[in-house]
Amino acid sequence: MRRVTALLIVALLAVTLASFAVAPARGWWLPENASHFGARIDALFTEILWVVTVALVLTLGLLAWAVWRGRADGPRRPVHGSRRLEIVWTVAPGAVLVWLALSQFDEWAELRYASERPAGPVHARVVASQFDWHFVYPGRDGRLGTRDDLDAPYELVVPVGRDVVLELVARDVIHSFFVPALRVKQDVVPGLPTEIWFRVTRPGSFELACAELCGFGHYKMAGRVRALSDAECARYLAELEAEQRWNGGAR
Amino acid sequence: MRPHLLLLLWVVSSAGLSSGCGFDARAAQLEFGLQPSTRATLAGSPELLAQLEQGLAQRFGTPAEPRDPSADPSRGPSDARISLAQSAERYRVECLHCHGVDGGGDGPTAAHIDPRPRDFRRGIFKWSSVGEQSRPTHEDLVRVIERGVWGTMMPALARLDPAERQGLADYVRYLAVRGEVETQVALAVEETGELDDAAWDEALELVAGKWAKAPSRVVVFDGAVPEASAASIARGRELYENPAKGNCAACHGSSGRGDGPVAFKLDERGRRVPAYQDAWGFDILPRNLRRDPFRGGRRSIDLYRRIHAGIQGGPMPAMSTIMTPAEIWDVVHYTQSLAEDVHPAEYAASEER
Repeated sequence: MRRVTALLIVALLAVTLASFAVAPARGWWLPENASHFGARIDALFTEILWVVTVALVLTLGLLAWAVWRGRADGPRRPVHGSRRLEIVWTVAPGAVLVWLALSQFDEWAELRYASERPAGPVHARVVASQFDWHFVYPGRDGRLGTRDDLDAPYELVVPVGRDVVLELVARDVIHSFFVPALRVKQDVVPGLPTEIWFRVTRPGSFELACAELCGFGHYKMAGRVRALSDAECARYLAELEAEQRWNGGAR
Repeated sequence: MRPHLLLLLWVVSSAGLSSGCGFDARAAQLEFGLQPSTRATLAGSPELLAQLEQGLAQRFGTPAEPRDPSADPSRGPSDARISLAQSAERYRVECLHCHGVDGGGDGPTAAHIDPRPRDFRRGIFKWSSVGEQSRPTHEDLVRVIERGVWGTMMPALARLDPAERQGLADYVRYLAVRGEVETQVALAVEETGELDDAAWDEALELVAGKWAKAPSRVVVFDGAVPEASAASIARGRELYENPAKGNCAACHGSSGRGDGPVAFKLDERGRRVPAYQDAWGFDILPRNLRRDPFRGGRRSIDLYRRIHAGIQGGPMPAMSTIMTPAEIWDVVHYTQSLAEDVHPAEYAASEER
């Protein structure tokens, strides 16, 4: 029985490692990256994944070994602890965590420090509310909060290959602006307008989801981010502008 | 607490969660009911009430098998790619928890929502393109479903197919027609004391007729939407303040924050409470015009229509008889200027009512 248990632990470890090995080929992995810094976010993710994998193999391996060996012949002397072992298993993970914190610092600064914000006007204001997304573009004057602002629900249109700055605001509770393909996730807090920025590297329509449980309709709070060429983007905004100037008659 | 008491608590609470607290929206479990006003009208005669309920089921079907005896003539057969029964299913998923089985604005979550979800059964809809006392057009309903109503819990359902949104609009219209026919028949029966086919036909014709007229009641401005100028904004401000013209400041306040002198009254204990109720009996406050966009949409034509035709079901009056189109545009421009350059935090803050 003891040895069966130990083998089960090893089998579990093997299945886990095997499923990670085949995941990318079978489409179980992250959606294909579409932002200029996505590869670096993925590199950080992979780095952490390796750390976790080593820890998992070590701990499960030790566990399997201990179970396999078992108590050979009746009760042994109780163990009161080992100072040297405890120092090792405190300092080693601590060092790993400090290393992880330092290795992601450039990415954090580049994506969240105000000093790193790309110059230029806000591309759109993202308004999150229970349970939908609205997008407000500044219109011709390049300023938000004026009469020529243009608005649309559900789908945010951004240009490919350009720095896009978004201003996130929430109307009611905390939401989170999450676009997996762009590796963008930022909480949206009421009363705290927040700027984020990214550059989309290929055209496409990407899933947008609320990633902060915001109420009973949280699961319905879906949207899209559509990346278009400059010309198509301009055409889209011109359509919104024509709608804004519509006189209510025949089109 | 003793372990067996904890166990008992766990069993009781999980039993409660799995049975009573969930809301079962499967079609077979749902039935249309009668409106409280109908029950009040025919309180004296239970047989007539039963007859009315039976007649409604005969003509309009059930939530699982809805039938529309007054299908919208503006919607050709090619438009109805989605059947009314399919739209009813979609309604149960997306709308029922607020708007209720009958469209009475009384679903399980309705009590927690302010402003309350719309009660469709009177046929009154606020955010439309039409003149006074008109039913909305099909496009009006579709637009509200697609874009939601800013500042309320009505979400934008732009993630659905266009055909699904159109189907939902059909179903909302169906619930509205059903509700109003019920009311009309109850009133006719109260008068004559008997319920016959003629009463049904007459009510159906009356209600369907109101909806059929909607496309001809759309408010359109002849010509291009005028550009805002400093002069127009200044004229708009005068009209906004002028008691003989717009008189907007009386409700919306000189600052536009919805705090005009007649918006509130004092109750018997001297507390400041909303002075007006809407058609559904709920307290209503004038819009804070410094928070853009507005509920009925932020296009210039939306504001123009709001001022031209008023807002149905609320105290906002139609101004088309008091102001010329040019004057209405001046007020639109002034209103838009009130909403400019508001801090994003205030812009996004929740509305009061």
